[in-house]
Amino acid sequence: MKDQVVLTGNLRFLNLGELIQLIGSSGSTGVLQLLSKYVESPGVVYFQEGNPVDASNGAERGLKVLYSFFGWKEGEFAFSQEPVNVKPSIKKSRMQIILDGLRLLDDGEIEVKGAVGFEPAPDTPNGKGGRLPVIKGPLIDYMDVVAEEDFSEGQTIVSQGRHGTWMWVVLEGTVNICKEAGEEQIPILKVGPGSFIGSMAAFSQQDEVRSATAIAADRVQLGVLDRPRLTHEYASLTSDFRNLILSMDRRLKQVTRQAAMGRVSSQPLKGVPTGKAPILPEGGNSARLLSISAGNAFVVKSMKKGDLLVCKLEKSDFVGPVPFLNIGHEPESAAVFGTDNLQMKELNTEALADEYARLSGTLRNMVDNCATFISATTSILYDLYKK
Amino acid sequence: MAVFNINKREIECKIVYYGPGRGGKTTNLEYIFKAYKKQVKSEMVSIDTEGDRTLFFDFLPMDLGKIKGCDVRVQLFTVPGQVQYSSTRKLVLKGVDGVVFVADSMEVRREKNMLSLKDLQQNLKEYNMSIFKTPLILQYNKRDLADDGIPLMSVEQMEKDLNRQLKVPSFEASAVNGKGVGQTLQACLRLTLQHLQKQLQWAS
Repeated sequence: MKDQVVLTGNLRFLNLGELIQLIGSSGSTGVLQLLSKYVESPGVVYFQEGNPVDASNGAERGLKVLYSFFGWKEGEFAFSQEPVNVKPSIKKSRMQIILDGLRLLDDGEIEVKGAVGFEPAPDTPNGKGGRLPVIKGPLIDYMDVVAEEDFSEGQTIVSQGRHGTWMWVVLEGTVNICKEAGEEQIPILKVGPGSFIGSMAAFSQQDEVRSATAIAADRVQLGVLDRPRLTHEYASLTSDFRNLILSMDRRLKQVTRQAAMGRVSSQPLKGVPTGKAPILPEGGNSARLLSISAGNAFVVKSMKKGDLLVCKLEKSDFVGPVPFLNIGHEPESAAVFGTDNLQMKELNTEALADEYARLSGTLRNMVDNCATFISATTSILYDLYKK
Repeated sequence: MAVFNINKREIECKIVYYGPGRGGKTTNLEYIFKAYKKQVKSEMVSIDTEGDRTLFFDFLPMDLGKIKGCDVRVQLFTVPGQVQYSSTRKLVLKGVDGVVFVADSMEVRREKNMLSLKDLQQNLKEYNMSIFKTPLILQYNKRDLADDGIPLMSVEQMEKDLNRQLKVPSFEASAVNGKGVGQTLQACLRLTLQHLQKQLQWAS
């Protein structure tokens, strides 16, 4: 009767504080396992009659380890009811642990293990500083790293407008991603270990123009990716999945451009067909994933100041939620409008999800990373026009 | 959103003391903890948050009867006002069943009160709750300071500032010496349980 898993789920839906409360109020004895793709070993919390009595992560144990789990914002959990035979190392009451853990988290004393963190953005001429997301990727798969390159602080890694198809994964340090507008460099986000530099669109063509500038923010070590291997894998995917990847890449480029505009202007970006009903309303719960075969669609966020154009979609772009990725667009937080000649066909989400699950570690990380870039940049875009 | 514990035949609900920093939320809870010792069912958890303290303990209300044959256990919380404590605030406010808003009667705190109430509305909204549909009691605290010659707002003025649209029960109090503290809590408990009863009838 071992391993009686009675509760499983995602930490994004039920966080550690809520989990401890839930297990506490049922007075259960057992083991809570946490899995995060940003941490090498699983986290384990032992409960005795509803109270956490010990925690471990790798070789480390105790209360400090339990507190560190409050920083695991993303990941899976599983609670199994079973007898627990550990020497209790934690004596604090569970509510004390929860409230202390959350305070430490809010005070910045616990490291957040997840894709996105934030730091204040430098002010631009019109005083729009706001926040700058710092994006980390999942654990790096060294299989596809063929060489290492070092950059010193302030050194340019790629320049917007230049040609190039090299791709890197950040091994150490942070890289500033900026958009160039005339003489000015507009900061968009920062990327840290595990994040990728270089567009996935380069898989489908021989030549690619860099859409943004990347500058080393401190001492940076990059891993050069095995592009032939990845291109080969990309070419073996179904055309629907390749289109999905390219369409995400286009969304990212557009959202980045809009966010850059947002940092220098205060007027919402217009260009939306007015006076029409949306084909997907904001806040709707449609789960259908479609692909455009003719016409255009517009992803639009309704703001106090007016409609904000998030991106314009064209032939072979996808419309609707991708079940295995969270990009923070339609339908939860944006609406979609279409032109009169818009035609779409439905995509098979199950087949796409299967294909996603079969991707190599590196390619799947790249797709995840791109989705994180889109959602973080979009949240910045929304912030800029909120006030 | 109260939690039913079928095994213990118990309903667990949550009452949160909200209000501007140093307005008397913690003083209210500390007084309850001391004065109603017999009804307190746990240790008091006290977390030092910047400029404020976050308190928690379990409380068993008397004379309120049972709901559907279940005992009622109440979790009492204060919530840190500072913006940075969003994770704590989220945990505390999520599924809250009743709120006591502790307003500071000092004239200089007028704006702080209004901002904090607005903040409460915003925060509830984030968890898909409406301030108009959540059991809420207002408490005008620190009335005793008038004796020390400190300028206070009149109750009428505070009603106008804070309660014009809400129209919820309000009480004067001076939490330092316990005046009005019990009354406020009783009123909030009654309102919260009535609300729960109504929800249950609607559900069954």
